[in-house]
Amino acid sequence: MADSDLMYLPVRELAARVKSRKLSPVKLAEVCLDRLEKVGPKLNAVVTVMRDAAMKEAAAAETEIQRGRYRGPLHGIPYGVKDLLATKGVPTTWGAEPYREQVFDHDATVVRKLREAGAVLCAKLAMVELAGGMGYNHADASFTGPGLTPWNTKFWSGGSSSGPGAAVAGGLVPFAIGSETSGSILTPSAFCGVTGLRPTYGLVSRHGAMALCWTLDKLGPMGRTADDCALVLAAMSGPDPADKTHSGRTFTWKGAEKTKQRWRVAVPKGCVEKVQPAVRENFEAALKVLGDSVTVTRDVDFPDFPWGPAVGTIVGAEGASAFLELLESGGVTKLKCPADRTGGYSSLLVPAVDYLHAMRLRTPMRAAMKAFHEKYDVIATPTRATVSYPTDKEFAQAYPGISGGPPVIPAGNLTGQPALCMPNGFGENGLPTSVAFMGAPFSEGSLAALGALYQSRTDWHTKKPASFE
Amino acid sequence: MSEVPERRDLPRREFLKLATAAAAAAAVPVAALAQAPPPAPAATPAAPAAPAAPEHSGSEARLLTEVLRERYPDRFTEPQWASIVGDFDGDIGSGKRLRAVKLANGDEPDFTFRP
Repeated sequence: MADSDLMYLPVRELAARVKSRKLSPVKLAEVCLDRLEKVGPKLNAVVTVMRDAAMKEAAAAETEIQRGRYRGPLHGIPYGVKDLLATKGVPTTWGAEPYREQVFDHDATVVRKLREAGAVLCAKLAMVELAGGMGYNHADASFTGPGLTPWNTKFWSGGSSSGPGAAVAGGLVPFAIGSETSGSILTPSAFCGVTGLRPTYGLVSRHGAMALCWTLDKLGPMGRTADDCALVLAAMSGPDPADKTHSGRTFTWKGAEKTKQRWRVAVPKGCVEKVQPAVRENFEAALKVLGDSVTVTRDVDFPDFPWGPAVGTIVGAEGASAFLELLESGGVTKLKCPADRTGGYSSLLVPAVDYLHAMRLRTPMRAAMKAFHEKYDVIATPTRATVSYPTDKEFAQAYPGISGGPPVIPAGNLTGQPALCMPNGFGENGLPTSVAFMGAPFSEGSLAALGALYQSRTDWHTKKPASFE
Repeated sequence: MSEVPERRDLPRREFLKLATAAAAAAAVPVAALAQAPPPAPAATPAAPAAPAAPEHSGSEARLLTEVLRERYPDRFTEPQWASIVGDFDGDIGSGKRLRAVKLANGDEPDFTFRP
């Protein structure tokens, strides 16, 4: 097996080899670090390669395993984090020029938890500056340049977790940690053809993560398979006194067992009519693959709320507060994307009444979604209405006339619900398409089981981009 | 087209009075883009592409922009100010949709203060 092939194996399979001592964590880390250094720049996917620290962690993992102290399926497995997670003594840039030299004296809780699980942190990965909170409208919105999808480097890797998406898809790391305020795990996962899991709000500590929007921000895994994402989420989740918004819950995952569960799946009205043809065809094929494991109800009315305006108001107000100093000082004018240099200023004048109105709406929104999920276990949609956007156009000019229907991504983020997305085929320009399943709060186990079922019947998640094999 | 006079045509007090009234009536934030791009390009964000002069802009958007110009008089070029007017236009439209949903007096914000 070529070294690069190792990077495309699921964590579950790498773990079996590491546990049985057929694969050295040191060797695995070396392959990962080499690819981060050699391939990473071709995708604008990497900010900082942590070679020295990673080799120390890998050597320690190897020694422990040789001595019979195996910590679990992440022991000795390399990974990367979006560069908004604090890492002690290593720059944490938030993807933004004004923070290029920023260094914290502590690790984010997620980084600590993954270290305790034995995972080997190899890199800080690229991201859209300030996680997209200033209103970027173009792929070139990071000091590392536009993130590129390995499937066709004329196209974007998605945002704002652009580096994690590209790094997993390009075989630079077996898994990565991204963040989502409203779509930033699902979108790059879709545009890069990897599996992404957005957890329920409050399942994973955000201590040490850049804050864009306190009531919406979440951290989650991006990887090869649904099973891998669930494995990683299990290691990331759990109470943390440093994060007051944590639910106190812990996610556990033993693997997808054969189940007789039958999922009640809702397909919202309008979610496929105006998407790209390949997106629609691949979505229909995905539902067909699930066959008798699902009961599909089509044309379901999605709860009618001003989802987009609410998420915009909340992110605008909280983001302007979180970055008030940057806005007032004019530091924001150093950002890469021209739209980001001005986009945050109107948010400085959000009336408190409007913010509160949006926050008050979240209660009936959650009630409506709770009622929805009494009828349906899962909402299925194409993750995105299109394949990835070309890097030489503003987003609005990429695919005029294409629409994804109900705003399921903003809705799921406002109500704190989990979602899993997976590659389900290819569309224009050899770019991947993706299917998403959203469930009720804390239904990650059910979503992962459904995802594992789908991936046991398909091989889209095993495809490798030819230029990066 | 806006019929609002330019800032320089108004005494400062009168201008701020107008601007405050407009702000109370309307403003809503830009960041509809929030992290990931919007669900579909057709629905793209309040944050507009750069400097297109928003001739359709309403008076509220222009007044709110003038508030920012008072705070940061030398920060932006005219095309950037025009972009910010566009931001406010999007925010105002967004805010109208938000406030069209009526809530009862007892509907509390979805967060809890724990002393």
